[in-house]
Amino acid sequence: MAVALQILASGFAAGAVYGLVAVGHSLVFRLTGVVHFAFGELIALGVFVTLLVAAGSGPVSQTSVGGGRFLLALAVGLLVTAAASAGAYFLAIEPYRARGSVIGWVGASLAVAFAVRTLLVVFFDRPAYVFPDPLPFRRIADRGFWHVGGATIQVRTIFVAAAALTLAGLGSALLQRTRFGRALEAIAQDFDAAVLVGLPVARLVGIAFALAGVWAGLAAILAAPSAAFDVDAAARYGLYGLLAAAVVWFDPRRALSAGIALGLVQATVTSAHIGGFELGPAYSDVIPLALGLALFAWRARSMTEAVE
Amino acid sequence: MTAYADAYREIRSSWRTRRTIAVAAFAVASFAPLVFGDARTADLADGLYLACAAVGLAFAVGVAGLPSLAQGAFVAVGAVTGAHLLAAGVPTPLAALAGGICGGLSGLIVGYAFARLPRAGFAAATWIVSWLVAFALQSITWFLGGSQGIVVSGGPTAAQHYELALVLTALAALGYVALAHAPIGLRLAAAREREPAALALGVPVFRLRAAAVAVSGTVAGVAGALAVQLAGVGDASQYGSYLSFRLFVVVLIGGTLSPLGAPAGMLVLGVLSLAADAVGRLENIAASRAHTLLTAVMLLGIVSLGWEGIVRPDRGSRRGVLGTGPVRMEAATLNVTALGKSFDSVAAADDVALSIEPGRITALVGPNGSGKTTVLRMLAGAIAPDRGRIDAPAGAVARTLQSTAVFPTLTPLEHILVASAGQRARSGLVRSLFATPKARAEDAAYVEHARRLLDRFAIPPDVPAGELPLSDQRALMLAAAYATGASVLLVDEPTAGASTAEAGRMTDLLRSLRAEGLALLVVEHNLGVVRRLADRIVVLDAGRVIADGTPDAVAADAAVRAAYLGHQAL
Amino acid sequence: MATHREALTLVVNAPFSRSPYLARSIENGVRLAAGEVNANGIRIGSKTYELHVTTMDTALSPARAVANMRRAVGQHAVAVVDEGTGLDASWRIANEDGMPVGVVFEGGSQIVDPVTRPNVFRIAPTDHGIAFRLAEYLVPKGLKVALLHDDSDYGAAGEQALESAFSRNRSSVAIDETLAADALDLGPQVLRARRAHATGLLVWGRPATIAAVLTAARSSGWNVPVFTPPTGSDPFVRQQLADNPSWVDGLTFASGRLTAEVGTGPFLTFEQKYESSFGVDRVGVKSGGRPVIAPPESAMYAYDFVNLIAAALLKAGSPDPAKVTAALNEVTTEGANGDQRAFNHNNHEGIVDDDIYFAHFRDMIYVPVKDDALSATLPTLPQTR
Repeated sequence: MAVALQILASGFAAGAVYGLVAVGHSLVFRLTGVVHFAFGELIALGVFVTLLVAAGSGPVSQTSVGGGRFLLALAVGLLVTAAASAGAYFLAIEPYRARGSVIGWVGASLAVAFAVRTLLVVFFDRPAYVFPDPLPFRRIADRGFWHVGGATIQVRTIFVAAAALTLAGLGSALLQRTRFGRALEAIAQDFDAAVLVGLPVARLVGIAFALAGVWAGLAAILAAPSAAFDVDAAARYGLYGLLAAAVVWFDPRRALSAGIALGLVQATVTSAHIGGFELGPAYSDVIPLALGLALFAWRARSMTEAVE
Repeated sequence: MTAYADAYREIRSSWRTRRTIAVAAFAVASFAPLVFGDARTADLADGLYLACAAVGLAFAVGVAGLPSLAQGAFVAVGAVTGAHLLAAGVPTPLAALAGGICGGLSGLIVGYAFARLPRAGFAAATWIVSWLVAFALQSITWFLGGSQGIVVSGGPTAAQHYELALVLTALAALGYVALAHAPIGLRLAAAREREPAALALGVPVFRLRAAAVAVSGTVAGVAGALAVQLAGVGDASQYGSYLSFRLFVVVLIGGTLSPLGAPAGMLVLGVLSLAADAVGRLENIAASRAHTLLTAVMLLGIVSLGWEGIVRPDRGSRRGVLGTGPVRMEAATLNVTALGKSFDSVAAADDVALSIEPGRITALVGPNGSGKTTVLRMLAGAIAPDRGRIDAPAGAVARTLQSTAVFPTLTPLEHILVASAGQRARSGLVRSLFATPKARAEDAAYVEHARRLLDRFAIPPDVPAGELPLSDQRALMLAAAYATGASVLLVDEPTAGASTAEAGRMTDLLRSLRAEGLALLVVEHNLGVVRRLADRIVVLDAGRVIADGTPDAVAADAAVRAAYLGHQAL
Repeated sequence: MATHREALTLVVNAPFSRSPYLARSIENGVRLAAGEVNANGIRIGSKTYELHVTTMDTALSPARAVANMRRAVGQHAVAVVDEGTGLDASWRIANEDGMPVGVVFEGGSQIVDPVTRPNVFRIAPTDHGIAFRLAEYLVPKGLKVALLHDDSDYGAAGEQALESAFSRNRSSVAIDETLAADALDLGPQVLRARRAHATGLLVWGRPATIAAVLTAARSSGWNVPVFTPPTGSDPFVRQQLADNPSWVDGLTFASGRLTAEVGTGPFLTFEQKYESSFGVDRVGVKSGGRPVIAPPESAMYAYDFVNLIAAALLKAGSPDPAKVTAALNEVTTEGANGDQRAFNHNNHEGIVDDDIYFAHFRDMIYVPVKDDALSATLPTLPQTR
């Protein structure tokens, strides 16, 4: 029971971040028909810029950043993510999308992904980083830990899950209840018609790209202090978010749930012991990806109608 | 001997300067081991194996139009297979073959699983596949042995591997040419350009795409198995997602539509690695990081400039010779009873019955939204009806699309070859790959038949279809449907947007097809054309048949007039 | 008049892009030694030689390590200082030329074998040595140890070494668990260890894993002793736990002895030279209000190997790699810490298994333990500046 609770808590938290990234992927795909291969790396960019502004690039300890400085760092990091996301759209994706060149935007977005990743690794070359945590979790419960049913759960884990769900809710409200959201829905339904009726489509889509990056980036930054962090960890958010989005064929309403499910599967594979049997961490990426791909393939079977 | 002489004459007649350059380049390249030391030769051999894998990828990306990001995974599958077999003492050729088979099977599985997806989805799926394989190799040490890898000792020297890699790359390029030129390649190209139109011509799009991915996987598997022996160690870290990206870059830089594109792209990447070493030393960055960064930046630059690759496609000529061409199916009647289809709560078709008979033109008319296109799509097999029956021999029905849907970069000759490919007996993968004499003879006969057909339809055979005037494009669509050999043709708005003269041309063509004994169903909005052309008219309104008879009878029908709201009298 | 000197290439084959801290430490140790050797040069016959250091990045990839070894042979390198990745495949290529390879980090037992791999030498603690010393240290304490190792290559190698070390004392093992090297939360696994009634944790993994295990254990109020291989001393562990310094207190790790029986003098001298050339490596935490630094351990082993190469060159009387390899079995030098470093035809290990000591953390610096015979004799090195 205790192990199950810990799996639930950690899986839900990780999954909620995957889900938010999946919502971002879905939004981008619905608007442009483009799969944003650089999404994970742009999120990583935001996380590491925040780290750089907050604590420099030298050795870091969690006590070394005050709340004010962290807020400034967060603002800068999110601004950079927004600018990079929008920039990637205008420079690397839109020119090919407009020409209908799938190969073009696939190549361009991958190039952005690897360029950003390599730049990050050049400047942040340590095998793992400690992300400063300015929030006073130590003062909650037992030095930041709840003991529930024999399990010990980090308060921060619950915070990350709650924050991701809140962000998802806010994002959903933004899309459904604002003019901006309705405009995006119009673009998603018919790009060309939206242009014809006079919507500033390029600007709106650029803003959507920026917002998707900011939303997911914020979730990743909030999750970062939970454990050792490196460039690969952030890029993985993009991969798992993509898988969750793909399984539900980029439906923003179901992407969050898919991400959470993925997180729970991963936590179960990593940690669950059933009788004497465990899969273990060697399969913590392999099994969720394999299952997700199998589900994706199952969905693909029903995609027989090509648009005339 | 005659076959070889024919082949020689054919090659000689189609020889171009660029082929001379390619042969010369390969010949010069074969002397590299004499110039470079062991280490550099091994690096070059490794690059050539990658170039070989990239040629395989170019077939999937360029010909089939599939943005496959799993080629690195297929190389990995070949490498794992090769590493285990070679470590167990299996001879190199067998290990390479096994690697190819495993790579091909992996490609087939991925192709079948995801070829139905739109291209964006296919790219996403294959990207995730490449990550899955990378994680599996790194996490499950059985595959490639963890930090020390699986040691693969013995085998050919670096120089021998180099020559082998050069030969394999050349063979892969020749295979690309053979398959791209063959019906399989043409059909893939058609599906790449316009999938609905290809489906309408009976192209088994998804099966062919799966086959294309399998072909690319096979080449990658062979390359992977041999490259691991060259490396001397099976190493999981070599098969991450970056490998798939690198292969994709090589193909994009070199050109997706030429077999020489991938080797050219690999050459560029090789030069880039020298630059990366220099940048790395200058900026105190590890060379591998500099290489990745430069590769990514270069690709961004190339795609942003709209670059189509170093090596442009080379359209070869096609020789036509009288011979046994395609055969038309026997005349058949298409009977439809109680056909129905609903979308959500809207009945697009309800209890539709009609009969399309040989030697007659049946027109299907009705106001906008009456369900004509839905009925047409059901008759063509594009969508499944909810109820009712459609009786027609298998393969007897072909259809043209409502929109002008030609394959822009294919010539009319190639359109007809795509349409008639389903009737070929010698166009399978192996025959196409080896361009057997019988396959070439069949090809020549089909080319001649196609030229004569295009002559009959008054369409120039060798101009890219996208450059033809609209009326020629509409006529080409009809010719292609006819070339499938179907005895029942479903023609969707043949005179849409046509001038009077152009409409006259289309009606003449349709009459000539009727005179041949084909059964024709024509959906038309131009009621004047319908009146002049049709032997029988079926009128749909809100998915139901409200009239079915001769043009005069239908014109006098009050229900028909009411349906059209008196806007236009028949 | 300056004497013309011929260059002898010395290659450093290390994971510069993937483990830059380790790789640079190795490179710096090599450069420090080479600089000292080159001050006078290596006089062989009528010629004077100097060592030119070339670095090659393995990126932790065996295939790249093999390719680098080919390049080193192509450049007629006199020796290779190697981190150890891919040695199982690359040693053969060096051996074709008789070129000596000195491993200065990887501790796997299969890497070094004087009979089948005559050109491979090691100056680094072996996994076998560390694992057996840990067993030797822990079993008498009567602890029920939970063996936790991560799924990194380092962890997998450690798992094998521990299995062998504890094979005759399985009753001392409460549970054997594999941990995800990149897991955010190791709570469930630590909880399982607790439920198996473990009274000690032996964590063999990367620094991040060690930090995560400590967090999971201490946060749940489980103050069981934690033991680790040398990765426990990695600055990252202290950085991650800087918020809770008391959680680091008592963390005990096994490592190769930094000082010799003659005292701390030689090592401190070496450290001074190292810091003058390459600067101080700050951990990022403080002890008693003063910044904590990390002593240059990996650099020391690389430094010692280069000095042995220089001695072997003189002994061989030739820069021929095969002769240098043979001569390596016959020379002795004084190591950076004052110990004698030497190989022979039957033993290519530069660190004796008995030279493994234990240290535990107190206020972010480590102090040799008192309940181990060797460790109790060792002084505490200054670790603040």
